[in-house]
Amino acid sequence: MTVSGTAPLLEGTSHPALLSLDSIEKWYGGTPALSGVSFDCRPGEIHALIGENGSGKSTLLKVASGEIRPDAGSISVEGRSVRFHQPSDAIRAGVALIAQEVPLVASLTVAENISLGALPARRLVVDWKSCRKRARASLALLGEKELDVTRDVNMLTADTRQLVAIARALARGQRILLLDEPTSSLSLGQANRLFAVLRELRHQGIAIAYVTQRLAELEQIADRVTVIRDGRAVATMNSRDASPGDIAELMVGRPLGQSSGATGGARKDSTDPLLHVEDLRMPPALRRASLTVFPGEVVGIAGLEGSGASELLAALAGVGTEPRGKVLLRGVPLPLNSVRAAMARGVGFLPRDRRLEALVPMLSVAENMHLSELSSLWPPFVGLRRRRREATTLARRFSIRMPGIEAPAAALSGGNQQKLVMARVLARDPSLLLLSEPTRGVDIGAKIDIFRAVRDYAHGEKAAVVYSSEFKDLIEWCDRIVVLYRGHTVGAYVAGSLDEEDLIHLAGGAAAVAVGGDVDRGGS
Amino acid sequence: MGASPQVDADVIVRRDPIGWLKRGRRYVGPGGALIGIVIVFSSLHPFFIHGQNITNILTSNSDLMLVAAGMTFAMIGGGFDLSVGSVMEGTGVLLAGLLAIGVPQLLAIVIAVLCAGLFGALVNGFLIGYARLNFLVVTLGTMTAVEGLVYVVTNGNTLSLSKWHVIAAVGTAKALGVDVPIWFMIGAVVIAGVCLRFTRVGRAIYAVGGNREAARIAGIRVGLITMLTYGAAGLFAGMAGVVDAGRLAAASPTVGATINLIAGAAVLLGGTSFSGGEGGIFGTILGVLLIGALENGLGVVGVSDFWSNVVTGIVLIVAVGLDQFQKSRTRKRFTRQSTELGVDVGVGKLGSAAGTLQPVEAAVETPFGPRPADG
Ligand SMILES: Nc1ncnc2c1ncn2[C@@H]1O[C@H](COP(=O)(O)OP(=O)(O)O)[C@@H](O)[C@H]1O
Ligand SMILES: [Mg+2]
Repeated sequence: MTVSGTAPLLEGTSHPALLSLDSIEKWYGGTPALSGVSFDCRPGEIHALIGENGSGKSTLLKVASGEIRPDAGSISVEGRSVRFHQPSDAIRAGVALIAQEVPLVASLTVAENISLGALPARRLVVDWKSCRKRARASLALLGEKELDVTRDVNMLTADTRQLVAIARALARGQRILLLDEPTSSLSLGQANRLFAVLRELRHQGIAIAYVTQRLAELEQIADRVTVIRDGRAVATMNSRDASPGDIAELMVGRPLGQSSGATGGARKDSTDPLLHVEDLRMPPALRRASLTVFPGEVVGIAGLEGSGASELLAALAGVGTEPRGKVLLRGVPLPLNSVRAAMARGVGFLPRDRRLEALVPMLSVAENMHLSELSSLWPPFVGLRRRRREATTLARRFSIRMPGIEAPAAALSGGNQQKLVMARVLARDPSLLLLSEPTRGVDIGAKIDIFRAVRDYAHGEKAAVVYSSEFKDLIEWCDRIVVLYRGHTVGAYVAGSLDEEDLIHLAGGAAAVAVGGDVDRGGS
Repeated sequence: MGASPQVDADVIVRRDPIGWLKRGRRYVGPGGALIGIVIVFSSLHPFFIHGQNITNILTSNSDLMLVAAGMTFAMIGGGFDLSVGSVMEGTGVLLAGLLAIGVPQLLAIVIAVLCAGLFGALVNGFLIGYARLNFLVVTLGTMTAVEGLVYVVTNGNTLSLSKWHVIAAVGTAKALGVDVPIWFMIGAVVIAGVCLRFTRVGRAIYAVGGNREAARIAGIRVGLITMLTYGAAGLFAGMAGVVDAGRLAAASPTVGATINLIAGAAVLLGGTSFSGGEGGIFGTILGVLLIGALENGLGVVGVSDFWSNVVTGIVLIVAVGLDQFQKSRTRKRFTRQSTELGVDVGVGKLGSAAGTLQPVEAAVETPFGPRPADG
C-alpha cells in the first residue's frame, strides 16, 4: 500500500484531474473543519473519500459544490482555477452535488425535476414534450428506461430519487458528480443497483467523488481512496492496494484501547433484565433488532447512517411508525404505539434532532424544561412560581449557560440546548433512559457533561441506552455496545473488549458475513 | 420532579429582565401605530377623543374583539379559523330558534354559545387535530356549510328578536355605567389572556403551535389540544354572535360576512404570527383597537367607509412587513453567532403552517441558486 503523506496526487496517471481541490481550509468558529485538504477527481474514475463521522467529508463536498466558501485553498476545474461564490457557479462549471438528503421538489414530476431551473420553453410557454424527452434520455444513460417521467417524485423510493438527481446532473451536462453517503438510506439491493450505475458513468468518463463511512463498499466501487481524519487528508491510495484493516487504522489514526469511563459491565447475570427487545421491526430502516438491558447499565448502540439505530430508540419511545416485535420492560410488555404510555411506564426519550423534535424555539428555557408536564392538563394552572424555581434548579444542576430562564430556547448554544432537553427528560426520573445522538453538534465540554450525566444516572434500578455515531464516545462511556447493520443487530459486545477500529468494521458490515450472510433478505 | 429541593433564594425571586424586554418589544409596533392614529385623528377632529366616540369605537368593535380573541387561540396554535363568521351567524339563528321554542332567555344564550364552542371543537378541531386535515380546508368547508345552513333556515331573512328584553339588553344596556358589550369584551379578553398565559392548556397551545412534533414527543396530547384550540375559537365566535344579536335585536344571516379575515388581520397586527407558537391576547387588543380606531377616525374626518378597508389593508401589510423584516434580522444574527447545528430558528416555519412545504422542497433553494425565468 502506498501511503503518501497529505499529498493526494499519485504518480503515473494519464488523465489530468477534472476537479481538483488544493489545500482547502474551513473554520467554524474557532475550530477547523478542514485544515488543508487536497483532493482530486479524474475523468472515468471513482475516488472514494472515507472517514469517520465529523471528519469533514460533507464539508469538503460543500466546498467543492459552492455551497460554502473555503477560508483558504483553491479549486480548479479542468485545470482552470475557479472561484465558486454560490452553488449555481459550481453547477455551471459542471459540478453536481448529490447530497445526503436528495434535494428534489417532491411534488413535481420526475421530468420537471430533471429540468429544474432550466425548463425548456418556447416563448415563455414550457415545452413539456421536450422536457419529458430530455428526462427520458438522461435516465436512459443510467440504464433506467422503465421509469415513468410524469410521476411525482414523492411517489418514488429513495434509490430512484437518487437516480433522478443523478439524471438531472447528466441532463445539465455536468461531468463531475459528488455523492455524499449515497447508500446510507438504501437497501443492499438498491445499493448494488446504484453501484452498477456509477460504474456505467465511470465508463462514460464522468469523474465521481464518492463519500462513505462503509469500508466494505470500497473494494466494490472505488478506484482510489482518500482517508480523511479530523479535517486532514491522511492518505490517498489505489483501492486495490489497500486492505480494510489499514484503512480502518488510518480512519482512527491512533492506538486505542485506553478507554476510561466504562465500568465494564456492573451487572450480574442473575438480575432480571430491565428491558428485553426481541425481533423488533420497523420497515424499512429497522428489520430485526434484539437487545437486553440490565439495571445499572449504559448500553451503547453503534451503527452507521441507515443502520436503524435511531429508529430503534424511536420505536422503544413510542414515536415510531408501526413498529412490531416483542418488547418487555421489567417483564411486562411495553406498548409501542404511544409516547404517553411509554412515559407512564418510566421511559424517558431524548430525540435525535433537537430542533425538529425536542425544542419549541420561541418558548422560554423554563417552558421548554417544563414541556412534558403539559402531558397532563390537571391541575389547570401552570404554577409559574414553581416552574421558575424548578427551572432554576435544573439549570444549575446541568450547568446550562443562558441569558436567563425566560430567554427563548433558540438563544442558547447547541450544547446548552441539548442539556436543556436532557434536564427535561431526567427531571421526570425515568427508569429507562433512551438517548438518540445526545452529543450531535455540541461542543466538547457539553459532550463530557452529557455523558457524565448519563453515566451518573444509570444506577440502581435505572439504565440508559445511547445511540451515537461517534464510536469513541460509546467505547469510552458505555458498559456494552450493541452493533446494528442495515437494520439488524449484529451482536452485543463488552465495551472494554472493543476498540474503535473493531466498531468501524462491525458497523460497516464486516460481521454480517460471519453472522449470517445475507442480512438484507426481504429487500424492498 | 427529581430536582433537589434546596435552591439559592436569590435566583428564584428575580425576574428575568431580558425575557420581559424581548416580549415587550413585540408591542412597540402596534402600540406606536395606535398612538399615532389617536394623535392624528384627534388633531384633525377633536370629537375623535370625546368619551362618546370612544365608547362608540369600543361597542362597535366588541364583536371583532371577541372573534379576534378566539382567532388568537387558533393562530397561536399554528392554524386559522375561517369559519368564525359563519359560526357567529349560526349562533344568532340558533338563539332565535331556542327562544322561539320557549327556552328561557339566559339559558338560551348559554346553550347557543356552548353549541358554538362544541361545534368548533368537535367538527373543526376533530378534523384538524385527529383526522389531520389541513386547517384552511376544514374551516373553509365548515364556513361554507354553516353559512349555507344559516341561509336554509332563515331564507336569507333577518329574524327579529326585539321582543326578548334580555337579548336586547345584551346589546344596548349599561351596567355600572358601561355598555354591556364592552363588559363582554373585557370578560372575554381577561379569560382568554389568563387561559393562554397561565393554564396548562394555554401553554400547550403555544407548544403545539411552536413545534408540533416536539410537543408530541414530549407527551402532550396534540389532538386534544387542537380540539380545545378550535373549541375556543368557536366559543368566542358564539359570544360575538350573541352580542351582535343583542345589538341588532335580531339574528342576521350576514353579520359575520368578512369578520374572519378582519379578525385575522387584527391578530397579525398585534404581533401574533401566522406560523404559530408566538403572540398573545395583549397584542390582539392593540390590533383590534388599531383597526377600530382607524375605521372610526376616517369616518369622523369624513372619509368614505369604503376607503377605510383600503387603509386597513395597507396598514396590515406595512406592519407585518416591518415585523418580518425585524425578525429576519434577528434570525441572521442568531445564525451567524452560532457555530453549531440546530439554531437557525424558525426557518421554513411558514411552510409548515401552510402544511404544504416538505423538507425536500425546502432544501431545493440552496443547491440551485436563482432560477431563470420559468413559466
Ligand atoms: N454549519 C456548521 N457549523 C459548525 N460546525 C460545523 C458545521 N458543519 C459542520 N461542522 C463541523 O465540522 C466538522 C465536519 O463536519 P462534516 O463535514 O459534516 O463531517 P462528516 O460529513 O465527515 O461527518 C464536524 O466537527 C462538524 O461538527
Ligand atoms: Mg456527512
